[in-house]
Amino acid sequence: MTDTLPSTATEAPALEIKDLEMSYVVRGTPREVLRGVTFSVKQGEAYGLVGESGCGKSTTAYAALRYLPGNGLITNGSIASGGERLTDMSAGELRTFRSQHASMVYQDPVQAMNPVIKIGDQVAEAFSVLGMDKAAARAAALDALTRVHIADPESVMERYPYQLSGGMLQRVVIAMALACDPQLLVLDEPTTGLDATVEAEVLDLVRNLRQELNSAVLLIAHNLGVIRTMCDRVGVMYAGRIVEEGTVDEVFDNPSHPYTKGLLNSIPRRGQRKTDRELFAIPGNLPQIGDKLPTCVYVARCPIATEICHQEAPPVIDRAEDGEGHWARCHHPDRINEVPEPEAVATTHEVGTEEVIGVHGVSKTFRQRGREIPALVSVDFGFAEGETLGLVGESGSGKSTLAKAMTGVHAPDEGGAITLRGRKMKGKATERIDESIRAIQMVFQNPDSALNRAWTVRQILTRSITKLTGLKGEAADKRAVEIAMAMRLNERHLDMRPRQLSGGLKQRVAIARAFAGDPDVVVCDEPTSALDVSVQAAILNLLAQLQRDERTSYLFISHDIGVVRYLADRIAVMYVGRIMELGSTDAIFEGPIHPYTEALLSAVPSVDGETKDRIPLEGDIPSPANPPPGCVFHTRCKYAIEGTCNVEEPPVVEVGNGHKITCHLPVDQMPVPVTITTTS
Amino acid sequence: MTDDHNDDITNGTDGAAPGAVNENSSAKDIEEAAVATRKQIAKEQRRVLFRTPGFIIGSAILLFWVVSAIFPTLITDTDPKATVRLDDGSALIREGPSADAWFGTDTIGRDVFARVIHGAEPVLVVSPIATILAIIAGTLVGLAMGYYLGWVDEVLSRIVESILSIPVILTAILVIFTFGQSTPVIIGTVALLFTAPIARTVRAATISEAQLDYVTSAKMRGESSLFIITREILPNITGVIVVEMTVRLGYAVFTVATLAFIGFSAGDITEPDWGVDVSQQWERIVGDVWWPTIFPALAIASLVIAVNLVADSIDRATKS
Repeated sequence: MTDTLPSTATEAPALEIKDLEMSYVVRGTPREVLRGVTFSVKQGEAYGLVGESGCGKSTTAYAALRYLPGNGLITNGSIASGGERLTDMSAGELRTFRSQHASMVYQDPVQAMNPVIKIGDQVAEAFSVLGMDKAAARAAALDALTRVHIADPESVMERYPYQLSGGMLQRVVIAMALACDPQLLVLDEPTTGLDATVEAEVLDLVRNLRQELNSAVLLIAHNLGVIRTMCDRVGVMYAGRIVEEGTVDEVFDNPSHPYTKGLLNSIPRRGQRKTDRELFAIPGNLPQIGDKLPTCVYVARCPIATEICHQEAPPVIDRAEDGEGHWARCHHPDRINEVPEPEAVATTHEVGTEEVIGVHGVSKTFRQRGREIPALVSVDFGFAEGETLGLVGESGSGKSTLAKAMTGVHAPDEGGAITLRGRKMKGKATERIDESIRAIQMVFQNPDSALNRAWTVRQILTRSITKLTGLKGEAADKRAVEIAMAMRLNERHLDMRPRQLSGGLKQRVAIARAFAGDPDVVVCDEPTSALDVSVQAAILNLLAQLQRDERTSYLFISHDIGVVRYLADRIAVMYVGRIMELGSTDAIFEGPIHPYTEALLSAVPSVDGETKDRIPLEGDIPSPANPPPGCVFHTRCKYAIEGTCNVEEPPVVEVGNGHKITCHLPVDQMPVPVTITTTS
Repeated sequence: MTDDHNDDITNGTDGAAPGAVNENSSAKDIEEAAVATRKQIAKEQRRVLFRTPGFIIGSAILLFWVVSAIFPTLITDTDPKATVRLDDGSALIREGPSADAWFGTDTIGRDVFARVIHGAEPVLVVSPIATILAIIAGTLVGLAMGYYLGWVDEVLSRIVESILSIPVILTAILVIFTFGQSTPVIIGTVALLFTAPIARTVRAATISEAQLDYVTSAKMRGESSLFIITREILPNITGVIVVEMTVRLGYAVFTVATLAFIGFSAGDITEPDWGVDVSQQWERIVGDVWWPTIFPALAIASLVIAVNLVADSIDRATKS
C-alpha cells in the first residue's frame, strides 16, 4: 500500500458499504443480523446510525473495519474505503489498512485501555506502529494528548488508566485513534457511559477535530440528540436494514418512515410535560437476530401497514424536498401523518400539600481508612403526596447515596432526620418498623441486576407482598396478579423468570415489586437509562399513570434532563453532596437558575436542534473527600466572585415560590437557561 | 403531505405473509415469540452438548467405570483375588497380556484385568462422597465469607489459606495418622482438603452476587441475612457450584488414588484398588513387568480425563 493517496482515492467515499449481509453463528446456527445494509460516507462527512439496541448498528460499525468476532460471517455484499475493497483484503492488508487509514473509538474507554501500561506508553505505541522510533513516538504522543486538550499532558503521560476520569480516558482513546490521521473514524457510542457535561466536552472535541482533520466519521449512537448535533447525514436502522436516510435536519424534522416517526415521538421533545400528553411507545419488540423477516422489516409494528406491506418488499422512495438524498424504504411515505400522535392526558391530578416524606438536614459521612468522606451534606427537602421530585447532577454528586439513605440501605449521620408524615424513621431498613419499610420502595437502574434471576416473577412479587403487607398464600398471589395487571403484564408473565423477559418487561416487574405494598414514595434511580427510547416511553407513561391513580410520590433520579423535565414537578440539583438548587420545573426552565444548573442544562444534546452558546464545564467534579472551600462549585463556575465564593459558603436565596438557589450571585445576575434553536 | 388516504387503510389480517405477525396481533405475540426462542436456547445447548466429541467420549468412559463399579461380574467373571490357573492346573504368574489374561497377571498370579474392573468400586465410592461433602461445606463457608465479609471473612480466609498452603499429602498424612485408616477417614480427609478451594470459589461468586441490586432490594424490604444468603444468593450461584463439583470430582479420583499409592487405603490391601495395585507393583517395571502397573494407572488417568471432559463440555455448552 502506498503512503500517499492518489487524487482519485480522495474522491472515492471514505466508506462505502453495499448490500452487506452478515450472520452470527450462535450455538451452531448462523443467524442473520445485517440484511442488506447500503450506505456511504463521503470524505470529511459525519454519518450517524441510529436505532434500538439489537438493530445491528454496532455490528455495522465493526464491519466497517471488517473487525468482526470469530462467529461473525459476511455472507454477501462489499465494504470499501477510499476505493479499496476491505472484503477482498488479506489479513496483512487489513492490518495495514486499520493501522494507517482507519480508527475506532469504543463505548467504554476503561476497557479500551490496558490497565497496567502507562498512558504515555500506550499512546506512543499507536505511533510506533506507524514506524516511528521510540523518542519520536513519545514526542508525537505528547502532541496527540495536547491536541485533544487534555489538562497537563506531561503528567497524564506518566499516569495509569485508573488514575484518570472516564472523560479524560475517552480523550486519550481519541488521541490514539487520531494517531494515523485516519481518513475514516468510527465512533461506537463514544459518550454513552459519560455524564452529560463530559459528553458535551467529548462531542465538542470530536467536532473541532473533524474540522481540523477532514476525516470522515461514522457515529453510532442510540441518543438521537447526539446524532442531531454531530452529524451531517443519518441512517435509521431497523432489524439489520436502513429504513430511512437523509440529512439530520430532514430526517428529524420531517421523518418519512413510520419507525423514525415512532422513535421521535417516544422522546419528550420541546419541553413536553407529563400533564400535556403521553409519550408514544412503539408496540411490540424488535425482531431477534436470525428471525425470518417478512417483506418489510417493520410491518409487524407499523401502525399504517396495509396488505401490500405484507406482500411486497417496500421500494426506496425518494423524499428529498429541497435537500439531497433523503429516502425512506416504505410503501406509504405519503401517509406518514397517519402515524398516531401520542394521546393527550385527559385527567390531571393536583399535587397534595401535606408533606409525606421529609429529608431534614440529612448528612452521610463514609469513613475510609480513617478519612471522613462527606457524601451528603445537610440535604433538606420534602415531598407532597403525588409529587415527583427530579434529582439531577453529575455522577459522584451523591444522588444514589441520597436514595440509599432514604431507603435505609445506609444509615444517615446522627442529627438529620428522615420523616414519614412527620414521624422520624430509623436509619437502617432492618431497624425500621414495617410501616416505614412499606412506605418507601425503590426502582433500580438496571432490571437485570435488580431482579433475582433464579426466581419467577410470581415469586418476586409475592415475596414483596408478604413482606410489605403481611398478606400470605392465596391472598398474596391474588394481589400479585392484580399488581401485574396494573403494570400491563399478563398472567402468563408471572411464571417466567427474568431472563425470559425483554428489558421493558423486566423493568415493569421491578416497578410492580416496588408497588407491592402500596408505597407512599418510590425512589426511581435512573429507571429508564438502560432501556431503548421506545421502551423508555412506555415505562415513563406507566410511572405517570400510576402516579395519577395511586397518588404516589417519586424521587426521580436521572441524567436525562428531557426525561426529568417531562416527569418532574420540582427539580433538585445536586453537586458534591449538596443541593444547589431546588424549584418547580417551570421555574427552573424559565430561570433565573444556579450557574451549575445552567451548565447542566446546556450540556444536553437536543434532538430538536443546536444549543446556543453552550456553557462548558471545565475540569472534573471535586472529590467529596476534599471539597473546595467556600462554595463547592466555585472551581468550575464562570461567575465566581474572587474573595467571596472561594471563602464563604453561599447562602440559600429564595427567588420566588419555593425556588431556592444556593449561590452568592445577586438574583438579577443569575443566569437563565440557554435556548435551543432548530437549525432548519 | 396528503392525508386523504384514510379510507384505504386495510387491517392487514388477510393476505399476511406466512410467519408474519400482523398489526392486530400486537405486542403480545411478538413477546411470545421471543420467549419461545429463549426456551429453545436450552434445547440448542443440549444439542451442542450431545454433539461435542469430548462429552460423548467422556460420558462413555465414565459410564463404563460406573458399570464396572456396580456390576463388575458383567464384564469379567474372574476372581480378582485368586491366582489364575490354566486348564492343566499350572499357575500363570507374572505373565504378559494374553488371551487367558487380557492385561496379564501380577507377581502372585492375579488377573490384572479383573483387578482393574473390580478396582473401580472403591474409587467411585470414595471420590463422589468426598466431593459432595466438600461442596456442602465449601459452599456454606464461602457464602458466609462472601456475604458478611469483615471479620468473618478475615478469620475464615486465614483458615482456608492455611489449608491451601500445606501440601496436600502432608495434610492427608497428618489427618490419617491422627484418626486412623478407614474409609470414613479417607473420605473426610479428601473432603477437608477440597473444602478450602471450593470455599474460595464460592466466596468470589457470592461477593459479585451480593453487589447486585436484588440483594439491596431484599435488604430494603427488611429480609434477614439468612434468607438473603440461602434463598436469594444461593440459587444464583448453583452454576458455579456445579462446575466446581465436576472439576473437584476429577481431582478427588486422583487424590484418592494418590493416597492409596502412598499406603492410605481403606483396609485390606488384597482387595482390588487401582492406587494400591500401582504402589505394590511399580518396582517391577524395571524388570520389564509393566502390565500390573500401567493398566491400573491408565484406569486412573482415563477416569480423571473422562470426568474433566464431561465437566469442560458442560461448562462450555452453558456458556455458548
